[in-house]
Amino acid sequence: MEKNKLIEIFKTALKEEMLETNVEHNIDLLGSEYKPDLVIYPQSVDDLIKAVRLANEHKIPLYPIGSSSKFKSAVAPFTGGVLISTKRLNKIIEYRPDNMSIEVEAGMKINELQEALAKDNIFYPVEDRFTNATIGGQVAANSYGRKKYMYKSARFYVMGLEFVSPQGELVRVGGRTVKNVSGYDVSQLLTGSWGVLGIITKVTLRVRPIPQKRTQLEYITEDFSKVTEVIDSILKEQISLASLTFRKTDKKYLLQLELEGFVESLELQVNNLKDKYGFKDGSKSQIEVNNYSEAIISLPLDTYCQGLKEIEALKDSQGLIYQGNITNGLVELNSQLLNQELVNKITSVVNDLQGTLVYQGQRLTKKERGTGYIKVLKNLKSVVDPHHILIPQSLVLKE
Amino acid sequence: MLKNEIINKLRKIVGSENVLNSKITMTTYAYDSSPFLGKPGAVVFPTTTEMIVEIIKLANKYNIPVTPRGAGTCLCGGAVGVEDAIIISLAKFNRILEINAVNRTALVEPGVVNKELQLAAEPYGLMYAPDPASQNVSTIGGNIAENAGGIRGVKYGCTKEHVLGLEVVLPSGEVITTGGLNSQVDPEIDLTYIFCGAEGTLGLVTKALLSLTPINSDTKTMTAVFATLEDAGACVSEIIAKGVIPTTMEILDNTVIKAVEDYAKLGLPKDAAALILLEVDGFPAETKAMVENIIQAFKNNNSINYKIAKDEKERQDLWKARRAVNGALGKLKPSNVVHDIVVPRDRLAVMLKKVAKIAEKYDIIIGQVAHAGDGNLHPTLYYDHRIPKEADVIEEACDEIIKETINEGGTISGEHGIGLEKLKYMPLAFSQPSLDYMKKIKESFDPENRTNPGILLP
Repeated sequence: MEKNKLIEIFKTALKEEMLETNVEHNIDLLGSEYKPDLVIYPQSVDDLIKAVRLANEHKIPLYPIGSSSKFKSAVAPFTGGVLISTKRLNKIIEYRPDNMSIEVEAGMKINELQEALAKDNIFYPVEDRFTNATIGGQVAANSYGRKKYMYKSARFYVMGLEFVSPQGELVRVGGRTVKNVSGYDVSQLLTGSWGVLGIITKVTLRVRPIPQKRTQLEYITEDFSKVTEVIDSILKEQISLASLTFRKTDKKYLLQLELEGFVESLELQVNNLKDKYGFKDGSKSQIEVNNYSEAIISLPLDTYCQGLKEIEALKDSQGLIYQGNITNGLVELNSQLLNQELVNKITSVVNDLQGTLVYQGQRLTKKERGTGYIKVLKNLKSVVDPHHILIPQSLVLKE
Repeated sequence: MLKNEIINKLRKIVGSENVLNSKITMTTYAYDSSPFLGKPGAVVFPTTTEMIVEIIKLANKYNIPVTPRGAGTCLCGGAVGVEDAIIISLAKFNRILEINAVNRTALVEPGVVNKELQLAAEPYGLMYAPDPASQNVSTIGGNIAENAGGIRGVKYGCTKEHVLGLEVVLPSGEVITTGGLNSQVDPEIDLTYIFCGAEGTLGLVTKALLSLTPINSDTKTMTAVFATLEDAGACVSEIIAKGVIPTTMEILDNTVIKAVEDYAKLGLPKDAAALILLEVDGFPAETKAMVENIIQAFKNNNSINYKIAKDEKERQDLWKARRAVNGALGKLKPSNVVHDIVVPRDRLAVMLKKVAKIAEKYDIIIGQVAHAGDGNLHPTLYYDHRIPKEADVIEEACDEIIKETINEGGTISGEHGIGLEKLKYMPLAFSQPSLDYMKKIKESFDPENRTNPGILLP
């Protein structure tokens, strides 16, 4: 549809200041050379509902975004359409420090949320590499941060949601109580649904007290067998482990370890780790593994070291392993050193270890969900979104 | 009554010894732990996923409803089934397939009893954190279907927080595998969690991959008594706001304290308004700091008496009051209704007071035990079912409790489920478009409405 026609349609219900054709988004993050014809910035949930209803009426696909930092991970490069951003819906709706809960609009940025909570010594434990990521985007993607081992992913903090259904109905599910089994747990379905089942407008989060202390330690060695030995052993320690990561530079391996918890018990743990393994005080700057990077492996903890060893042992694998988040099970490869033969070999290694390999956005390892899985998802999509308005070519609905 | 033809086909699938349809057996399977009655046509005991697939296909062919059932401890009428339903009991489908100490996971079949998993995990220094009161008998499948909570829920969360993946037989008869061990690196919609708390209406869980939690080396147990509910409520709020996350934080009101004291003679002050039972766990250095914080909160909120267990015997003594609750209250009247309301934790004291007022207004006995750390209250209303007037009054009082819960920003069920029992309250808790969205979920999984029909959605 032509730009002018689109604007005409949405202008019937929305103020012109909400309709942006001169796109201010970072196009690179969209992962396509394409520029959206139109970006809608609703200023209220009502505006958003109006936009979705118009889109249904005129069969115009909509692409919900927050700050668009996660957009390209789940959408096949597209060729046209209208983005709808929750960026301007960014207020705190209800904050209950004594309940350790906060309800915010979906467009609130993670760092703004943290600031609001920090004055009460509270935090939202899911970190994001993108500081401008919105809470709505994080929830839609069920994001996890470097410390997933300790804090898991976004879904574990979502107690309730308000969202606009693909047909433009306002739905509220869950609530502000830490326990809730009233009806289907629709919040959990929408969390990690990548925007295809509804546009999240408000999120009620369970938050936590900031830990008394955070400590970083590191360990450097040139001996690869030492690395896997230490990893295997650390995973068996009774410690307040938040993350364990590594990076290979030249011939050296750097292991970084983070602990979070109470001052006194952390002191004991730190002393033990220093004595037993030779860990030293670490720097504040932590190794970040991008779970959507170009060549990424995800492994169960119990096969992680095995995976490292087998890849190191492959012919021409020198320098291939770049870095990893051990506690998240991730290994990031240096994709420039990959060739087809190596990719095939690594795929087979990872398959045998029950892991996942994604290379250039393609999952190369097998996935055994059963054919009913995608079928039931597609059913669901058709029932809640009969006109396929929300992200029709989403990768999460691909067979 | 199911036709003989169907019974014979069921026998072929699971073996004759695993199909029951005598009148007496049907009567015993007509109820769960709620007051609701079903009228099952047959009970079958499959022991493999393949058998369940065959049962579902048969049920689909002959248009027979099915209801999955674990140990039947469901409190909301979710496991009784509609007339002539095939009850699929998972009780014999009960092996622990794997415990992995590095991944800290267990792979189990749905009929595994919660307690058995606890015992199996213990030698690895691990526990399965959700511990519903029914854990000695209730099954993992049932726990998942209801998203069961437990005493340790304050710190460790409910069942869904410990489920990593599932194998499910869909109403179509197809088998799917959800979730898994690996961190997500390619975008995918994880269907695991919509099955948690779905009360067996979207499919039958046939395997569960669960996360296990390290057992902490040190536990400290305390009780504190308060002269007013306000003080007790403020104490709970202060503890939460201080950042102390207890393992357990239970509150007993005056009605319960009196009943327990009359029943078990533990030396509790019968005029106290509330008793809080509190437990913390962690490394020894941590529990020490937590206990200090908690005692400060007791003092700040005028606790008239508090105790800290010095050893295991004293710990068991402190737990006695909580454990005696059901026995003590059962003596008051022949029948009771237990509610399962939840409010934001900062509204706990207000809600306890409101329920006490409702008891006064209707001149009935309501005992209140609450998982204070979760804001989850279990007011129990006592009556004599043989006196019709009493039953009517109870119904009215229940309606008022639910209304007040919603006014306080809470919801109608925290861990027991909707089932048949709370159907009528669903429109109070949710708007029509929200209920419609839930109905669409059901429709897309089970278009013929054959899998545990009649419950959860009005």
